Amino acid sequence: MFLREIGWTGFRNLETCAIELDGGFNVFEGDNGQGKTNLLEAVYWLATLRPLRATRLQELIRFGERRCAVTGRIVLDGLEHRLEARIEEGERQCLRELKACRPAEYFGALAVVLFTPDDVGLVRGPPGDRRRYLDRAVFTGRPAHLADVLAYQRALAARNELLRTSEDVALHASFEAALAGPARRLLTARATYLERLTPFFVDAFRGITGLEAPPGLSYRPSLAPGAEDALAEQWAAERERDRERGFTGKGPHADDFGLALGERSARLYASQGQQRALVLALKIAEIRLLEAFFGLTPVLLLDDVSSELDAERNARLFELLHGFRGQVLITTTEARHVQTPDAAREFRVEAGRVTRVQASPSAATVDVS
Amino acid sequence: MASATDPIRRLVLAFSRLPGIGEKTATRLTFFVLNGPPEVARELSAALADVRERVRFCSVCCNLTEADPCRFCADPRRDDRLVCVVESVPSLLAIERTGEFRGRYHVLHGVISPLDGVGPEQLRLKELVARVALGVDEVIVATNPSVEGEATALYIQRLMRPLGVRMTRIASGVSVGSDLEYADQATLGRALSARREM
Ligand SMILES: Nc1ncnc2c1ncn2[C@@H]1O[C@H](COP(=O)(O)OP(=O)(O)O)[C@@H](O)[C@H]1O
Ligand SMILES: [Mg+2]
Ligand SMILES: [Zn+2]
Repeated sequence: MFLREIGWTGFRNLETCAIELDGGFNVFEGDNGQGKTNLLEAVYWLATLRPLRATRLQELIRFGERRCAVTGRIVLDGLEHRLEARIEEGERQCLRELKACRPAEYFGALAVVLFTPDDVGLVRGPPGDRRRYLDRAVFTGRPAHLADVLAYQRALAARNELLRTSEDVALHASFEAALAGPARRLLTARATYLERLTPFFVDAFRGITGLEAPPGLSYRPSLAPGAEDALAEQWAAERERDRERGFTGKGPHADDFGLALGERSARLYASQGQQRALVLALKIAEIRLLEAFFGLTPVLLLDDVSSELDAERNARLFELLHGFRGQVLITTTEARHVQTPDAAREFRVEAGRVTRVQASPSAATVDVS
Repeated sequence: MASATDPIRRLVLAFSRLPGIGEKTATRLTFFVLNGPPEVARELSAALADVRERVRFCSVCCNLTEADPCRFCADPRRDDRLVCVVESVPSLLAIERTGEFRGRYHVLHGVISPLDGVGPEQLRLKELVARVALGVDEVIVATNPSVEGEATALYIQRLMRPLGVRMTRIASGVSVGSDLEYADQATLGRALSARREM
């Protein structure tokens, strides 16, 4: 799977254009604040219909504009697919093969895995960051996860509203039961994912660090695991306490997953370097899992990664990337920081304008051979 | 200069309040009504006036109808012992189109939705309880498979418990979050025949 072409209009600070990408390495060089992360966000939006950083869709639209669109030509198993993701009148719209479709029909042609400098905070950061990370990772291999997340959020908001407005016991019980359906599916998908990820994660971590203590991954549910009825019963038991709090205290929205080094919690004890290695191992495991279980080679998006890694780990990362068969999009402030293969295609990003840097004549000859 | 009561602007505004119609479409419709054959405008305004005047709730099933009882309640060939509960008239029509169902209907006119301020008392639930108490063998709940549709189905199940009636829910062949109205006939037909006990 690779992106042959991507184009955008009205997206963040990017000037309307379409660029042709290489099936291997693509490097985007530019100073800070020029639009490099915006460009990766455009790819991310095309693949997931979700913003990378924004909390509201509106933020994706270029200041002063009313709509935006990102289009892509994706090559999958030798066939070209066309995707388009737009925001029109504040609404998300998606098109596959130029026809409007539902998100469930849209996903499947393009999967991405993202590395950003923010990822390093995953080990020590708040549980919400880890939940979001986990749900995004689950979604890449199981697009239906998004529908479950949205259904759960809606049911949760409905229950929270009831906590404030209704004393009708039958009504509470009905919404608790309706909440249990998507909750159960969310919990199962997350747990299955972590279970499958673990062997790849352990392997990847050993590959990066050598002989350190084996790392571990564990899901920390706030409700006792069980079938839908059992989940609904726990919410019923919590109802009075939740009413006092004014919101639902327990459930998949309050869960966490823990990273460990040997017997110790990584959140409490891992050094800065170990934290980076853990996060890097998570990402590599994510890719390996996609390949092993779904036969998917995702497109890798690396945002300014080398700025966060020390020289040794940086070298490791690129060593791993060179062994990667798929497409890679990397942003950097200095092209010389990234050790890319000679055939990499280079672009410059300046004030939202993205232009191809033509390879020097000698490089072009190498290209042809 | 266009005043606030400028008839063109008034009609554009009126059209644009309809669901799915933006200002551009509203303007196109307005100019079509204005420049098109005169009978289009005449028929449209007569139909608009009529629909609110003559349509009312069926006293049996709460369907929207001109004649009371409605054609589904008046049809002697339909099975009185089987009642299918739907959230809206479009859902009723979607089920009718499958040709799979020969019982009676009950239209709730909405689902319970705390986020939209809709509680059970705003739906046609009392009418349903009264009807079922008179003797019904099975209640099929065919609300949409949305969060609110599911919760409403579960709420109805609780309401019906004292009446000891058999309760079923249409199978979830219809994907989560989608409307019955848009489900294709084959899928909806299968969902009906594969309904499960609640
Ligand atoms: N919706 C938007 N419309 C126009 N410009 C935007 C929008 N959102 C962000 N920007 C601009 O994009 C720039 C940041 O781009 P970014 O991709 O984060 O830079 P970098 O190249 O450092 O990764 C800022 O100048 C910001 O003002
Ligand atoms: Mg950036
Ligand atoms: Zn009727």
